Amino acid sequence: MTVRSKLLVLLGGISLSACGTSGNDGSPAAGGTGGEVNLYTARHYDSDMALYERFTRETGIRINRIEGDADQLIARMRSEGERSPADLFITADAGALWRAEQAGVLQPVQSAVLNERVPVNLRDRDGDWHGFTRRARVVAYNPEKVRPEDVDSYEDLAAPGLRGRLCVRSSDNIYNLSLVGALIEAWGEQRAEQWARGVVANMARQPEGGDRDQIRAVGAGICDVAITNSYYFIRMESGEDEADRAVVRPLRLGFPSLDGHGSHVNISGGGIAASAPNRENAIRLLEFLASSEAQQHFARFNNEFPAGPDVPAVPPTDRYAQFAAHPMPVEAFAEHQPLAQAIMSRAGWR
Amino acid sequence: MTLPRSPVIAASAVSKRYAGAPAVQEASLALRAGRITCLLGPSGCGKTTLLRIIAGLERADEGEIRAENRIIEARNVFVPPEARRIGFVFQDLALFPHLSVLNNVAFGLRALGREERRSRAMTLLERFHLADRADAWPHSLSGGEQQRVAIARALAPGPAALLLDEPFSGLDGDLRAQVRDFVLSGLRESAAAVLVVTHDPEEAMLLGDELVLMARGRIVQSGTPEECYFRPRSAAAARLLGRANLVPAMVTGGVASCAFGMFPAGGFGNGPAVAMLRPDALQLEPCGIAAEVIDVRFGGSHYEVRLRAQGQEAVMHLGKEPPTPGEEVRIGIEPSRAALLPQEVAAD
Amino acid sequence: MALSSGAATAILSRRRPVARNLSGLQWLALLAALVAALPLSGIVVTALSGPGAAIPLHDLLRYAWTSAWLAVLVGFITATLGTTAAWIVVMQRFPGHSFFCWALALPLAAPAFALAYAYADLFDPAGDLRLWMRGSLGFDLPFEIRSIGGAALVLSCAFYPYVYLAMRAAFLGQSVSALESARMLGCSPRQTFFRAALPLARPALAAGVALAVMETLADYGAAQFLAVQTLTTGVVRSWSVFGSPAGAAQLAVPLLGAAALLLWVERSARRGRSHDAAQIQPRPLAIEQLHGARAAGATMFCGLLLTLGLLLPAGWLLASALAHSPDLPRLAQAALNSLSMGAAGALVTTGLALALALGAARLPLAVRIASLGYATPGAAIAIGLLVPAALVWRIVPAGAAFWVGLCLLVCAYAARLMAAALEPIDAGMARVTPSMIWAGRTLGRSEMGAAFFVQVPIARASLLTAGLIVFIDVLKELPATLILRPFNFDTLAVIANNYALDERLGQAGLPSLLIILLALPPTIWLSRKIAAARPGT
Repeated sequence: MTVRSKLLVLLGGISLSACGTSGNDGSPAAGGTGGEVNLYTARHYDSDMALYERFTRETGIRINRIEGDADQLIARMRSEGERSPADLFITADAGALWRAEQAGVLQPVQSAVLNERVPVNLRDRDGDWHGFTRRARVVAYNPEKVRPEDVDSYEDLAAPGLRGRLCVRSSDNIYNLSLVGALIEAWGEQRAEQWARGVVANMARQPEGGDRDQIRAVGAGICDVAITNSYYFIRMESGEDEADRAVVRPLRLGFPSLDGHGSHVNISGGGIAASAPNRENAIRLLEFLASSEAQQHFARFNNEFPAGPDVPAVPPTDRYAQFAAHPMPVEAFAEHQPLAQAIMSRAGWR
Repeated sequence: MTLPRSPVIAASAVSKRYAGAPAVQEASLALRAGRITCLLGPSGCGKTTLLRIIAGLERADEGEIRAENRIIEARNVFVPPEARRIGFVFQDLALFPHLSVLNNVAFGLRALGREERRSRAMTLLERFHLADRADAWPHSLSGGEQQRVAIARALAPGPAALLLDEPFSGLDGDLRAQVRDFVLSGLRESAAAVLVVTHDPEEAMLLGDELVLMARGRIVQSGTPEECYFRPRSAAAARLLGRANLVPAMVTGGVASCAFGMFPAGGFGNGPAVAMLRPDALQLEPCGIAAEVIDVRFGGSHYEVRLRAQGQEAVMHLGKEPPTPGEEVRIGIEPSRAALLPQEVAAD
Repeated sequence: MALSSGAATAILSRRRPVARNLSGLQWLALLAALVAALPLSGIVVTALSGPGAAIPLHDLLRYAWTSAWLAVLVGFITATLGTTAAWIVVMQRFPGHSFFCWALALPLAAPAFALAYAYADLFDPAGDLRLWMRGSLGFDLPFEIRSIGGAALVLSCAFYPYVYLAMRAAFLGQSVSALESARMLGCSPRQTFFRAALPLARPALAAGVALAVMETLADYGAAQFLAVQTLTTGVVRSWSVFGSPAGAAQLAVPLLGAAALLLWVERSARRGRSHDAAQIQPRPLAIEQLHGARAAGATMFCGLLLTLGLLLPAGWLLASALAHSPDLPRLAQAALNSLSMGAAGALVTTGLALALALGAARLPLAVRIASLGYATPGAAIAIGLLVPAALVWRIVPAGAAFWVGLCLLVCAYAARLMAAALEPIDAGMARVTPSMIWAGRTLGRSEMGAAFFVQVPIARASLLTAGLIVFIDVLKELPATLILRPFNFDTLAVIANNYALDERLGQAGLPSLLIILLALPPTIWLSRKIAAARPGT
């Protein structure tokens, strides 16, 4: 008797949780125009959630989410085939968008709104995907040991002057892959590999941890320069964690330039799924994410840079908003990622 | 007094092989209601296999089995064990550890209502003097009690036949005899045809109304215990029921003579034969044949005396006053305890 | 006419045994084995589907070497810690003894990734602790947590209970006569341990270490998080960088092979163990009462083990959780999801494992195949699950997607954890002799009836054990949940993982801690049950 009653309680738990998650009426995948949109996203920031809620409030369209690794989501969409419930695929790296496009899980969209809001170098030529925020791959450095001019170009990071003074994460990190992909696009394979060798020679330690850990290592004196995405530094600098603020207070964020044209930038972006059952809603959501207010929201809460050139800067990113961004089309470096991995492996970058 | 009723279980020409090796070969036997049959044979002779085939726990390769005139096993017929109305008592008893004694016995009574089930189980427990242990757990019972529970459980559904596989092998000495007598009376009260497998000849003869002797997968003889003991049909059958001296003999004119004496040959024709002499067929006889005593051993109820005469050896049981080794004694044969075998079966 | 009916009979008689060979029970067992084999077949199908990724050979060899080295280190450390703890607890009495008896198994409740988060944060070279040590004490720790040694230590803290539990049972059931003979033959107590007790417990040691090493190979994320590049790194790179699931699957095959080998070791070790258990002499062990320094040492050792395995990481997670304002409704929903999936996974997995155990007598191969699911490495499981899932996804009506998704997920749990449930059920079933089943049959039950009225009730307690083990494992499960879950369905593990990927370790603390809290009661129950007295006394 007790066993049976326990089972009932547990079953009740499942149905309760099902009601709690799938909402009140019907399943997420249902309907073509029925007021919902299904999101497969590799971004999993709490602050995005507020944005989604705002979208639902404004449009009445409910958002169903699955968060996951970008490539696992792509694989899942491929497995689901034409029955895939996915409407919109979002990721925080141009390489993943490019791989999704190659896998055939996206469809081109021509939207006047998106074309107006997203600069041409931050979206796919055919409209398969569009970027809505930018993240610069730059450096955090200790100004007491490094002069700004020592880190104002990417070549400097591989120069002998920084021997044993550089911290950077492992080579399979998408942001490193995109950076090296950009170098390949700009310099060719050979020079990019030389650069990678220089970076490996400059490493203060074998790659470990994430970008934040590299910044903290500079703060702790383990190294003098760390390669990091811009928003990690800005988050530590302006976040609620006093210890983090203390770590970065003496540090500086530097924006190295690629051939004098500006820093390497990657994007967060999205594309409409090839078999999207709620295509119109998906486009609306993507347009919303690319809207000026959404881009400001990303800047304010996730400290990314807006994609649109005329989106007004907001704190805390406004301090750096004037940095020079390299105008390279993101798809140019996106497709070099496998080659970038091969080059870094050859150079001994773990 | 009673009409020859048709058997409850009739197995005919049942054969079974394991990986090519024959385990049971063309075995036939019949079990009758209210009678106890003992299946006797050395370990590994196939008697348990035969038992399991009858119960439906194994399939026969060849042969046919009928239960209450219904075919339950044949080339393309197989009635599963649960539908055969045959009870089985396992060598390890197989009492269910998760059920009380009462519920063990009631396990097979699922067609009955709750109250009826309980009262029927209690009746059986009373018959086996276990009523006071009804709520006990099997592991808390003594070996003899467990034995009785297992038999009561098998009898509970009122099977047409009950098969017992070495039921007393787990018990020793006195307890064994005690439980056996006890069980015997319990079994007699049920009308089931009973088949008991054992490798103990004394137990088989004490228990069985009928014996079936088995050796190397074949049934070598069946009949009453006396028939089997005194009139074995082969050397193998003779040895199964106890010590037997097999001595070459010559029959002339209705009299058999061998190294240890002479006895009437019954209907046996003239010519060479083999004399089967139980140890108690040899006795001291002042004007008998001279034999040399080789060895004397004390066996409790008797002395075992090993003799040699005319190059043949034999064993004799003596109640008292044993001779000493080396001594010469004169012996003769008690005809009722001697038998003749044809030469060709004596080698089995 | 007569001829043809004779021929029909002949055919019938030839077919009949075949039909009888697979009864209802065995079909169920086959179904269970099939479910468990799905991820494996998925991996094989994917591996054959295309060319591999262009990962240089020397990198692959480095990954393989690291994987092997990590497995060896974890095996050695867990063997040492688990065996020592078990010996002390069984053979000696010291302050806290009865507490440590069951408490030493509690780190089973903590997911390895949670331990990795906590230790990485705690011992970060730029973290508060190390800064303070360098600043105030003037010296630094001589080791890095983000290294193969650190990873081995963290994983050993998470997995030593497997060895502890196995060895504890072995020492409790060991033959007193063997120990006494060793003493009579001139061995000191120390030599008695190494030359008699330990060799006698070797099957249990092999089984426990095999489980710990298998968990190491199946680890998803903990080693990666600690910057140790194992074959898992290769799998991830093949997939994420080179976009080649086929290459990832190909890399998973040697991992699978190693895991299968360990499974075989564990299974054959268990056979030896049951043989030993039959010969137990129910005489009390010679228990030693410790005093003074030795008693303090024993208490400190056990306390340190428990601290490293549970208290320190859980405390650190708690501290970091308190420093952040959590999204409570979301966590509560995730906790409910975790609980529900744990319960559903436990029910289904235990049910399937039960079917497997019941039908296994005549399908030994099915059991082998089903157990392999447990040995599938975490990094590869997603690849393996996508293939069978694709078949389902492509036919499911849109309206049923949520529930079908959950069912798929539950099946995935069953596939992964079947062996974990099968082990206790098998042990429970060992109490049922074949003649008990046959007795049920001759007393009028069908095969199915005998299974449910004889085998299942006798093995009842082991079913609960199996269910709880699966429940705990589902709470900690990550890779299958990540790839298969339906919309808007996050478990605590998923949320913790998301925060960690986003480099917000502080926020990962609370969900990790909640997993430990949810897994703790069943772990305590299990541990106390296993801590039962020596058989026969």
